[in-house]
Amino acid sequence: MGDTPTIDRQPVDPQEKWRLLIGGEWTATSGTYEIVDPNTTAVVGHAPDGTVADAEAAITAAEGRPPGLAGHPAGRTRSAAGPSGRHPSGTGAHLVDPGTG
Amino acid sequence: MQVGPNLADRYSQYAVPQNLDRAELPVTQASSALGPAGLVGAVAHRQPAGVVACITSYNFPLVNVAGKLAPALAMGNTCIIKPAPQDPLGVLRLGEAVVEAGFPPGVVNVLTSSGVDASAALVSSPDVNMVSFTGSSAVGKRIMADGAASMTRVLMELGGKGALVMTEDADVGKAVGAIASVWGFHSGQICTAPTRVICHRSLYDELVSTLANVAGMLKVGDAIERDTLVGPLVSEQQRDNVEAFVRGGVEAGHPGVWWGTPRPAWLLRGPHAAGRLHAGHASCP
Repeated sequence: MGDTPTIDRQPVDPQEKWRLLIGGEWTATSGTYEIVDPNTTAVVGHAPDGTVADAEAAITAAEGRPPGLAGHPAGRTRSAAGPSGRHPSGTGAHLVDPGTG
Repeated sequence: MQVGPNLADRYSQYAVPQNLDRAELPVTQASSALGPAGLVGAVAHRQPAGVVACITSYNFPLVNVAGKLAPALAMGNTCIIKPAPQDPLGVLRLGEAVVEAGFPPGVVNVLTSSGVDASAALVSSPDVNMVSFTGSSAVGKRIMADGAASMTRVLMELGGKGALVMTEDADVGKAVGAIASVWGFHSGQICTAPTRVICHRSLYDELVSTLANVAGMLKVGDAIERDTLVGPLVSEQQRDNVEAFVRGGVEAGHPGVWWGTPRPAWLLRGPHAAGRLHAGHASCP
């Protein structure tokens, strides 16, 4: 057995400002909540308390839509990672025999 | 602290190119009332779902995220990670790695929240195409129900209390080793852990007394201390929930055999003791 690695008792600065990652931007929330170390019950940080509006912003970002066109069908684009939406016309679908019922 | 699968392994496992199309062998179809006879061919085609919400559990905060994020990204989906409220800071750190790695904006998003409203908004949104969830059965039921309104695809990994079954010829020593090791591994807060035992009558007394002896030897306390064998449950609220389950079991006539000092470990006996805990999906040793 090798040496047991040392465990950092305080791996994060309790004063660190944590933010949400939405659309590549670090986004502050209106509120935060305490994160507690269950060993000591000490507060190790304050996590962003995301709201419904934050969730909607994340959905808009994940769909690859510009924020100004949130919820508007005309604003739908393909995401950077691949097709989004319920009816992607991915490669290969054309291989299916059109006579198959 | 992460125990179990290596985080990088989860990603490298999905970094292998796969064929997205698989041709099925042609099949002849006989004439029937539904249509004339014919030769039927098919291609199994895999494609991205679109926007995937990854709602994860507290017990493996980073590895659980990796197990959802890696396959979703490899397939070409975009993701919104909603980590468990108790321990999300490591997942926000993962977000920093995502940005540093150069993912395009919006492909990986991290949304933390103390309550259920933000998660519920993800699940019920018609623009979220799939929800991958690990957590309690109660929340899983709600996600399935809410997601049904928009026909959202769901993938569920839910809680429970795994059973260890001991037949008449079982080795009690080996069984005790297996059961007790789980008490120390994440304090039993693992959905697949054998924290419930169904034991043959002939071995029952020996098993219970041996488990009680072993339990008394395990040091309960601060998980970071080197000699601690059973650490805390994830939160005070979770401990209170489990204690309420245990108290209910004792009041229903199942004698408690051993209590940890300080809490949180319990050993109850009786034919339905574990069943009561199971019904409540108590995640505990």
